[in-house]
Amino acid sequence: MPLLLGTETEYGIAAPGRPDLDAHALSSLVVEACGVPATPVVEDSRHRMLGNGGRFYVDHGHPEYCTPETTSPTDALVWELAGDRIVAEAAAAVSNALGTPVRVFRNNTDGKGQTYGYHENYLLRRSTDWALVEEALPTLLVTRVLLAGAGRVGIGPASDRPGFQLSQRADFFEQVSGLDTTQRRGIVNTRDEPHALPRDWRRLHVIAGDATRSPFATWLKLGVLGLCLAVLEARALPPVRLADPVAAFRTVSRDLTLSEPLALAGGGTGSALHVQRLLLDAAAAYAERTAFPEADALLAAWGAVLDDLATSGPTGVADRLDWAAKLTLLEGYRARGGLGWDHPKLAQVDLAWAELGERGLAERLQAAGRLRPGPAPGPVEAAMVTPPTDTRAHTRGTWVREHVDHVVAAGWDSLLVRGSAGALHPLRMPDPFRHTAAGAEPGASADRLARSHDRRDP
Amino acid sequence: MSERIQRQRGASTQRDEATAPLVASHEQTADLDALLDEIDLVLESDAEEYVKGFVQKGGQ
Repeated sequence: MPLLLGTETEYGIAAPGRPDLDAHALSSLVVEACGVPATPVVEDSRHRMLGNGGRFYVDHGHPEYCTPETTSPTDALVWELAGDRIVAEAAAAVSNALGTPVRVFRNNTDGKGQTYGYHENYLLRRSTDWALVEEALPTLLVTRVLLAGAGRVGIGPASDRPGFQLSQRADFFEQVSGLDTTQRRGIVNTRDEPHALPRDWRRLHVIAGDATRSPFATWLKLGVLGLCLAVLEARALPPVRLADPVAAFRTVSRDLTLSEPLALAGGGTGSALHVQRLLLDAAAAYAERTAFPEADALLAAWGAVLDDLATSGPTGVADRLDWAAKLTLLEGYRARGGLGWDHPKLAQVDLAWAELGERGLAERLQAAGRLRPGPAPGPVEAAMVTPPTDTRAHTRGTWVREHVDHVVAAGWDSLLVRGSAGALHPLRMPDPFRHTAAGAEPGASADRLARSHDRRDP
Repeated sequence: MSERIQRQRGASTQRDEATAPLVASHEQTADLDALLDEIDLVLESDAEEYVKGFVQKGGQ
């Protein structure tokens, strides 16, 4: 089955010069300042569908951006970075209008007890055994922290204890599986809302990951999980399972030695590195038989990271992974000033790492050649205003980008457009792999496009 | 285990051995020092206030 994935990022937001503006008001200003083609999802809604096929809105007092549906880890990364640019530029416009800085952050906790999400979505076949997903996914997600952790100063939800851990999110998960996303979070989220024909598809909604700033780390974590899910669907995952994933999530996140033994189901122990190696080997064997987007590059990068972690520890991967790059900076400041982990300077560096724009430390490290650069600016800039060509996001984005005045309503799996004579044309898109650029007529008028929708079977 | 992974592991081991650890670590330390100095210029002078001012609503 082809890969289909997308991500949702809730950004941290602050305007220290305007304490009178609450988080919702501030986030609303940022969404309204969106500088790329956009349209309300329905009349009077403040949720915007974007000309790149993504979505931009306020959720729980945070600006939130969803990428369009993409078919490769690189495309998911490119449209995610495009979202960062859209949000950063909107925040800069609000800063100018208010005359005081509005800062946006790509992180997942304020360090004071609150968390907000970074969600990944992967399309699964409806026929995939959900019991197997619930059983296997926690082991994948908990050990993936080695690759996907954004790093965090503070231990415990409200940073009650000083220290450093690999994951922003680990301390906020209380059960193995659950439906809630704002409390009693489960490592496996059971939401079943496919935004596609439910008979054929299920959308796996992954809420346990961190928002990373290293483009390499984002690409790797998305690709590795996508590949592991393909291996799962083929029932070819290794049998290794963590006995207590919730406890192991915290253990892995806090274990800077990368060697802590984790209890395995059925007896025995293994480190997160050991489990990742088993997953890598199974994924490599799978990819020998079955095509998967960017499999060779993913397997090579994944193997190199595990090798470098095993031989050199965090410093071996500080040029690629958020948590290790951040830890290197923090240890530098600690060594210099003899700072304890409770020193505010370290929390400041943690926060500044996540800030979008020129002040952001992740950008600084890329500019200094210490963090592997992401895709060229050209494709990312294009992805701010252009949808992917190979999913239904193409049709959604093209309507918003080229015929926004004709769009009455725009959802993930449907569109309602009005022709010049006033007639309404609904378009249902239950198959996310259809309605692509293939067969589309570039530059078609709205009426011609609307009539072509009428001819398509539902 | 696939040949691809064995090749990759071999390659990264060779690279580690080829690195001259002492020289590299001196250079890296000097680089890091310069970077920390540069970062200090963009960080807010009042770390405590910058961190205290970042209070978020709980999200998903």
